[in-house]
Amino acid sequence: MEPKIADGLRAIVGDRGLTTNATRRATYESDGLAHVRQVPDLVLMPRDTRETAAALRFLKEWNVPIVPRGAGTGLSGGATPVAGGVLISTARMRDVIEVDSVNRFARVQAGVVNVDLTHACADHGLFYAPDPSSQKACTIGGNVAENSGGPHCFKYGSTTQHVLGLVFVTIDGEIIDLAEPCVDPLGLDLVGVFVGSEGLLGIATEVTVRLLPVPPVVETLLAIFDDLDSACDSVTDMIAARLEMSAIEILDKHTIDAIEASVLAAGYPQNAQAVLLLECEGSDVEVAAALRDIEPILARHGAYDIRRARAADERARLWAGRKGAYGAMGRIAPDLYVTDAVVPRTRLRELVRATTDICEKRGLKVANVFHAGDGNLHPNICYDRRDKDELARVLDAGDEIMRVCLAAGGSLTGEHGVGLEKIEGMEWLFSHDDLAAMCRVREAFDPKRRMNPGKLLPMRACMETRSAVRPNEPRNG
Amino acid sequence: MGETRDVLESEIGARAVGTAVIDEREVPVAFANSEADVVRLLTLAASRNWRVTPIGSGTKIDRGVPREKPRFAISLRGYSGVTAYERGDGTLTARAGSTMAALAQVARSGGNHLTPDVARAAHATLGGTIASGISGIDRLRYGPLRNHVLGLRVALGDGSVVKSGGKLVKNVTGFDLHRLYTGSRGSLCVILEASLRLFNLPEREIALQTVFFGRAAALASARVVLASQVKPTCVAITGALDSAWTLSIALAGRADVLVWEEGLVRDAIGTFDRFEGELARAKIEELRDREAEASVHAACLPGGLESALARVDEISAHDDHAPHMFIHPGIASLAVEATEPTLPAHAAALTAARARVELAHASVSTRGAFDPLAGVAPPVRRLMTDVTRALDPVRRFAGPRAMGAV
Repeated sequence: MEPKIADGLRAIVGDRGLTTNATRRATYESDGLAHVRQVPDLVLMPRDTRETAAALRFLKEWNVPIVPRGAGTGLSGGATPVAGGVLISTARMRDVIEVDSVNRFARVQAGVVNVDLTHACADHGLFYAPDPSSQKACTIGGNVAENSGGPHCFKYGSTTQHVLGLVFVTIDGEIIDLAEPCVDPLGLDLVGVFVGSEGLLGIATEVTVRLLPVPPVVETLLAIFDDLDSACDSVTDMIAARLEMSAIEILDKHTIDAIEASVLAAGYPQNAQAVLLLECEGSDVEVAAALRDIEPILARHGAYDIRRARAADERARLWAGRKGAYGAMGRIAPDLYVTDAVVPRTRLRELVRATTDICEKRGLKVANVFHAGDGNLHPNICYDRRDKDELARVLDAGDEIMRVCLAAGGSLTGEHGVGLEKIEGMEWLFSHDDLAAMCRVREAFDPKRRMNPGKLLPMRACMETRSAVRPNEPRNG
Repeated sequence: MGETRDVLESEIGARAVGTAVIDEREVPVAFANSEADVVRLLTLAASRNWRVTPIGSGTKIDRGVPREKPRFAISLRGYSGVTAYERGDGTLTARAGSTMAALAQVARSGGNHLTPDVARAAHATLGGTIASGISGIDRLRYGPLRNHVLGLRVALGDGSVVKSGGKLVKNVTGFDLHRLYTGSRGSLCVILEASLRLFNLPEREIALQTVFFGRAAALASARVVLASQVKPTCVAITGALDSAWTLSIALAGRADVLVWEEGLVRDAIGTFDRFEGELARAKIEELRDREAEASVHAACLPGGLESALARVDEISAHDDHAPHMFIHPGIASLAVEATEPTLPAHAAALTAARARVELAHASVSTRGAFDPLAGVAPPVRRLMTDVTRALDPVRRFAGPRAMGAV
């Protein structure tokens, strides 16, 4: 890349805000979609909105691709700089700007780590609801880009329902200040369309989020099953009975074994074929009423033990196991391909079984841990990316899982985003006209399509100017 | 008008063409009964370079900034019906012309609750409700309308039919264009079909009402209820300055939980009149429907509510007329039955108090003189215009000015 570019950027963000060193740049070559890698030409770490805007105004004349990145915990390749260019990290934007306990919102810089926000408002008796499994590392800005979910989104909804305002910078370096918290926008809902746009519309630098009061009572249950089908059926029945819970998660045998063999051992019974991790929140009367309804359904579907977390530390341990499941799977194989699809909750058993069969038919080991209450499946395929044949089978299985879920009325992604991974699937789900409408909106924000090229919208739909890499054609991998 | 009618009648038949009054102007209306009708009408409009506006039953037509003048309106009132009701999954998909009351009944029959609970539900259409972006009186419990729109099928100005989102309760595939379309007031598209998330049908509904002398006392009691563990569907105080104020609390849910919640309310505010079932419903609908007729609607942050009320009081004192008000402290919204001459003052005062304001049921000149986007920064406004142009490059839709369509 032209040396003048680095010089110009250094003048804006200082030495600490720019990484040119090849070894350090290599740490930004991928996100959690590890088999697709491309080292960015430069890594920029502005400290705030002003620096971000100045950098983008400067870069406008150089016409290079720009890739926003939070913590790089995404699983769909959204932060992988497939077309090279300048990667802009929010790692130095870590300030909690304001916690307003009266109006129940917080304003944070985009690089604030998800769990740090909840810590910052805990003294006010408030919390931030979206809780992705990576919440100890992922950033609020990244959550905005991906419209992230998490176990408790079953009750509280995904990130989009909690973002009250934003400041973002467009590809031309213009600051769009929509920070003032509002539920009903004045005019068009630009915040609503920005959330989940996977870094194609701009870089969020500040986010205003809704905070919720910490519920007075929380009950966590672990229901133990000797087959995965029954666990799925019990969830379908609980949804049909419209029970009011805050989280419904399923972990299968492989997941349980991986967690129990790790430092995150949570006390999940290793003789179980599946467990349901359930949570109810609210007043003591509400929670007691919900539990009265839940337990018979679990029993009817063969849960042979239902354990209640006796104290906060036990509850924390159960959740730490669940949220650390992906890391624990490192014991099974060096790499993990985390698929993400949503299906109607009436068809959980059938589709969990189908996805498992798809993997097993290809000789792949799959571990299921997923947000059952939302119908959000995560068949996690354990593999070794150095084995090209195995990698090909993994990608093939991922494709078929998507097709099967779509055929059942499902969708491509519930919380990980499309990114690189599912870009071809967009044409399975959406018509040419559907995609063209998205491309037109993209071009209103970024006429030259320089922001995060090669992601989310297929090239044919948006006429990408720079080639993107297909997930199964790693450049450096 | 005559030429337009003739063309429309030859296109879709005389029986499918009527007249509506939109922003004090008579406008020919073409009644579409199918998606194909909508596409045909948009194609016709394109061939003659006519501007059009979509309407439902017109229940919210005189709310907000007036529209630019359309050559004709496309009514979706005749395009109704549920296309998918997944009881077990808690989702419902319906055509835009379905009335909210009819959809609520379908949901109820399967044990689900449909939100938003909007005024004039027997007439208000699904498409019109979503296009207006107005939430229901049950917003305190269920949240804003835009959170429950899972996906939309719409017709764009060029006649292409596109979808965004889907029919599932969780889905992040593609841009959420349905968030843009929701509340866009017909400035971007014609809404054809929508999928909504449903909630649990409450076992019981009760409404509790009590009267206070003075707004401060009513507001204080409402806040005590809101700070308790009760999860009401609605908490509203209504009245006029220096008169009696009624506190209305709607509770809905499991019978056993409601008994407990009612006890908490009693502890908080003392005695009240109690209504259950149909009577409770009637009380809440009466409140909902009267509030919808108010001429000023504003929302602010909870901490800004007192300031907003003080501004309204100043106008009342100056005008020597205390208008009836509807205040929802839990969602920091208020509605004022202000007289037409005072509307500009109310709009200006509430905007100065950092409230978001919308005027309704007032003359076009009054509504048109107020620009709710006046305080919006130029880059934001410009981006709204760019987005509008991206989706409707030839400005086929005659939308309100506040949507960035200038």
